[in-house]
Amino acid sequence: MRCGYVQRHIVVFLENQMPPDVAEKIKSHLSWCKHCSDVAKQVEEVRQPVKDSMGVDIEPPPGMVQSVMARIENMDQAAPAPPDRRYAFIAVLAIIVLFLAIFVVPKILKLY
Amino acid sequence: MTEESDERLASRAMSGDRGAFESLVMRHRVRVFRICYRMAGNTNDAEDWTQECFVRIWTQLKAFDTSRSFEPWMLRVTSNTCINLSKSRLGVRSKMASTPFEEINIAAPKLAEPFEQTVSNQQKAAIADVLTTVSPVLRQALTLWAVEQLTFKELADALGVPLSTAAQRVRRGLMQVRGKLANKGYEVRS
Ligand SMILES: [Zn+2]
Repeated sequence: MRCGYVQRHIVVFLENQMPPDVAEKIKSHLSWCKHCSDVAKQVEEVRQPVKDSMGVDIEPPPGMVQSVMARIENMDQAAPAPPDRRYAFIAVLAIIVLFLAIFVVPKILKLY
Repeated sequence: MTEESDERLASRAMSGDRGAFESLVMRHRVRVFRICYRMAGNTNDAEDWTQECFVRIWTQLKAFDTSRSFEPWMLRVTSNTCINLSKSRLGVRSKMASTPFEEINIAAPKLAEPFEQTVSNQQKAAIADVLTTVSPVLRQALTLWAVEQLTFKELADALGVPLSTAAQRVRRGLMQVRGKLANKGYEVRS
């Protein structure tokens, strides 16, 4: 088993989520590889404290659902045209402008 | 009456049923808010970010594959939205009226844990403080792993990356926290 593999999966191992046979191999690797066992030790120092510190029991403010739904309603009213059709319209407009710029405008300029 | 599944509600919402979407918001608002709180670092931004996340979930619903679970997809949209918001905030960092982590009730450590694994409130505050400076992609992985208590398989699914990548991000995030704590003169080990 390579050091790279062990270190990539070290948190999975420390959380007992490795398949038993692989966990056994990692365990025996850690017993002799100082480099990997140092990494494991460093991760283990912060793993549970970080997990504990990140747990929160705060609740969203009471009007959250209504605020979200109001935003969605406003958004749907503000954008009635489906985006595909709008882009198609812009594309056609761009082609017309380009056509005018290349063929029509030079002719007009020459006439005057 | 049996509760309608997330996937069923999502597919109804996809065809424009706002009531179905409202049920999804109702059901998941606490989780999304807690993720946003950990990603944003204060309650004010967390409120705005939660709204933003649900708006993105609504607008991106057509990309949801109804044959798959709704939850990992929702967590992915939520945490990606938080990453984008974190990045855009780096420029304009508003510190007004934000509630620091210290004032929030933090969940008590599980009783089953051995004594040496429990963390003091001061350490918790220090860790929470340092977390706001961990790079967004690593903070995203740490948040889903720690706040949502996902397994690495679930985490990989929510992040849309292989399991080894998800595990690496958590490890690198933890090492960043460790390094930053050391710089501040804290020792995490009890
Ligand atoms: Zn090794």
